[in-house]
Amino acid sequence: MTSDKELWDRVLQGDADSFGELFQRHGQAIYNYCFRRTGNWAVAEDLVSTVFLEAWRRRRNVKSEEYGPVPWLLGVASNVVRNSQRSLRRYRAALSRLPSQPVHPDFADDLAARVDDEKRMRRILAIFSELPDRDQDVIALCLWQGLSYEQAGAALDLPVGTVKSRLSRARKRLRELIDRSGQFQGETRLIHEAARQFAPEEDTV
Amino acid sequence: MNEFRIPLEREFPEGRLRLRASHLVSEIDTNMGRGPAAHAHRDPARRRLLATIPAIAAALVAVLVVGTSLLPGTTAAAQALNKAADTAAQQRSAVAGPGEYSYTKTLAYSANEDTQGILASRTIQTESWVAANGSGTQVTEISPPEFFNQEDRRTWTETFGPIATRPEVQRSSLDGSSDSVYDVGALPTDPDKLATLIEDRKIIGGPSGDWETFQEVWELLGSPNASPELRSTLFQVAAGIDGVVLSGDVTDPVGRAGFAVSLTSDKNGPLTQIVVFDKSSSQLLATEEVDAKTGAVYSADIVLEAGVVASDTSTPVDSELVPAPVATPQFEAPAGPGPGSASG
Repeated sequence: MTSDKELWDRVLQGDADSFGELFQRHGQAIYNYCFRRTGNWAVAEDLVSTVFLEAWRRRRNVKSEEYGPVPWLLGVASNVVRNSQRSLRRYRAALSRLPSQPVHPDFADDLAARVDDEKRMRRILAIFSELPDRDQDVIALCLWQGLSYEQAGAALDLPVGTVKSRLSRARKRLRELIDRSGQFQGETRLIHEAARQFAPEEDTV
Repeated sequence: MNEFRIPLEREFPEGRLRLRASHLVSEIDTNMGRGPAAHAHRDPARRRLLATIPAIAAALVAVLVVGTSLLPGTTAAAQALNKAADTAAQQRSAVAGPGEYSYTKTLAYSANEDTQGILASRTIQTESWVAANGSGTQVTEISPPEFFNQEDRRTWTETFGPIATRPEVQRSSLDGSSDSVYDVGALPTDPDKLATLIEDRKIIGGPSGDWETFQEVWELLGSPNASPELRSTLFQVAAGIDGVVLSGDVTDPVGRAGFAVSLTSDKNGPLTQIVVFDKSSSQLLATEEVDAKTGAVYSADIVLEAGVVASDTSTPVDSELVPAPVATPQFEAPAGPGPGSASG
């Protein structure tokens, strides 16, 4: 199988088919990331297309290829989801040319679960959105997406030290917000677990 | 690397990953190009020509002879936009000083499909308090959904439960790096330089094209910390965009009188962007995206209040930059989900 590195080298030569291959390999990860940032599966699906269209436009701006294309794509996604309505509006023309999409029977069965996801994620985001945008990025990338400090730094074009300090600050602030809200115990537990596993040397969120 | 993944992880709906990959390749081939990203730059000489229109209005016939591509609609719009640029330059600064905040209250309307494929509209009211360094506070109120027919409403309530009676409120901190508030303090006030930065998408990312440039100009113009000089320059950049049409005197969605310019894109709809300004101050009042054939509104952004305030909890009293709304906005329902909506 062709490696991501080989595909990316071809992308830099203008090979759109290789970019389409990268979409098929990594679109899934970006899809879930976009959902976690928006709490809406339908919006997340359009945002994945938007992220890749924007990534093609910026493909020559990649500074580090050390970690492969995924952290960089997640960095592009972070910029795109930060203001998803504007992002979708900018790529409205491209999205309008998407062929009609098949509705698979399995998807109908899946619908109730997806609706539950949305309810749950929106409750999490109601607290999460009180963090500054850049702090939301590091939490989402490091704790929810599982990137290392180095990968998150590559994604956000930040020094590793800055990622660490932002994460530490964001976790403290998130803890205050959760304590203040006094609700959403299920989600609170998940965030606690994520924080404990990721950075055991520090206080958990 | 940490293997923990927050739950709420799902597969792409069957068949759709491949469909979207194929759409991506098609878009690149037909609309973005496989070579290095290229952006069409407006001819600076043409921009300067358009920028001088008020001065040579008496000789308009001669200009039309010289510039054969200078359509009457574009000429009239350029003239109006250059006049707006002059007006903008003469306004007092609304940039926050030390200890102050630029306050804006906006209302955004959009009609979109949700995960179930139900078309619904929502309004999002956003209040922003932004200091000169870009830090501040934002409070967002997202309305419950409005439906365009009873069947959709019933389906929605069967899935999600009762429709909320109150808006969902979110409070965010701005740290000076938010994309929702652009850092416009260092932007050039030379129209050619600013136009090049916008067309190269150096300030705001996005696809190339006049339609998108038109959109980005108004996004920047709506920035709380845009100086009078920058606002004037943005109007001059808009005056240089091909195909912009003067719509003349209009009433915005909340009943305020203004003048409007518009740009229609045939490649997606066709869809028309309409931008409304206050005549006396050139302040941005509203933007709308409407179906060029039916007039149905897909999205709208309305500036309800704007001014400079002394704290991040106060609102303007006697320093209003825009006239107060005089009507409740009503939008005509689109016949379909509109361009860009995912279907479930």
